Amino acid sequence: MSSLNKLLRGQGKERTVGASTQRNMGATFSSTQAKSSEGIRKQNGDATHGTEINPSLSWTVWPLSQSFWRSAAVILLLIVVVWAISSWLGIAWASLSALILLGSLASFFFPTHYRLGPESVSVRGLLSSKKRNWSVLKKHYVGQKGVHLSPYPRPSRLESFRGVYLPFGGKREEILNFIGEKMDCGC
Amino acid sequence: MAVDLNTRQAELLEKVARRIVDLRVSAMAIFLLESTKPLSFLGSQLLVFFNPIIQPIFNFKDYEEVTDMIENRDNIEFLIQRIERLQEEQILRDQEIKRAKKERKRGRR
Repeated sequence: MSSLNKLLRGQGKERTVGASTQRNMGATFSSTQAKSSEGIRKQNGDATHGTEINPSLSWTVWPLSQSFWRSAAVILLLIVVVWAISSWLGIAWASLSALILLGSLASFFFPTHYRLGPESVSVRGLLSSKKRNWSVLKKHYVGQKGVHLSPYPRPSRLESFRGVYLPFGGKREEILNFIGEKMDCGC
Repeated sequence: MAVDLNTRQAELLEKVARRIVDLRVSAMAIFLLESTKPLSFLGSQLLVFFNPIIQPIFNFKDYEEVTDMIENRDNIEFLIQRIERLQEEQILRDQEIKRAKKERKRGRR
């Protein structure tokens, strides 16, 4: 457990570095956004001299490094499940189940990168990547920890399946402002 | 998302999407297509493998076009989006029909 503690402490350090980088990224974003709005203002004033700068916002979320106790509980649960399967069905099934569990929990164990670009939203994890154009996304739902972008203009059961969920990761205001600018519907 | 389709393939996808929406199984189709999207390449290779067995029996006209299309995951996403758009149009049409029916009933009274 102590080695796990050290590992997570190390990740904590990395996280702090990540946070400062995020702050820097936030600053970069603000400046490009300011340039962009200046460009739009220019366009409004004089259409021939206006230059459009496309801003983008990117951030990384890694739930494993966020809470020590939660991460420890998840890892412990995983170990218990794999141990139970190995004693019941054998080592081969246990390894298979460990692989499946790790794969299904990949977004928890490994960092996921999110990017809001001028044309599309992209989510890149260890095993999967998703990209949706802004033109396809019709509605967004703001939650406590993130925002869900849906391709359906009215409520649908397929929303959680087809939509894109973006956890805030400490950038709530920037993300919501960006989405507000890109999507017409302010719901 | 860059979708690389020729006219024939685009027509084919449009036909498939329209058929799915007409049969009113769009939710099920979207669910199935989205779930199997990561395996699309494997599916296309399976179709290529079974080509010599399937084609002499059924002789599908668009078999190779379908195989080519399934190979690219973006084409599946394109098909899903097409189904979603057609479904939305269908919902609006149904709402208009319902409204017209209601108005007709009111007129009779």
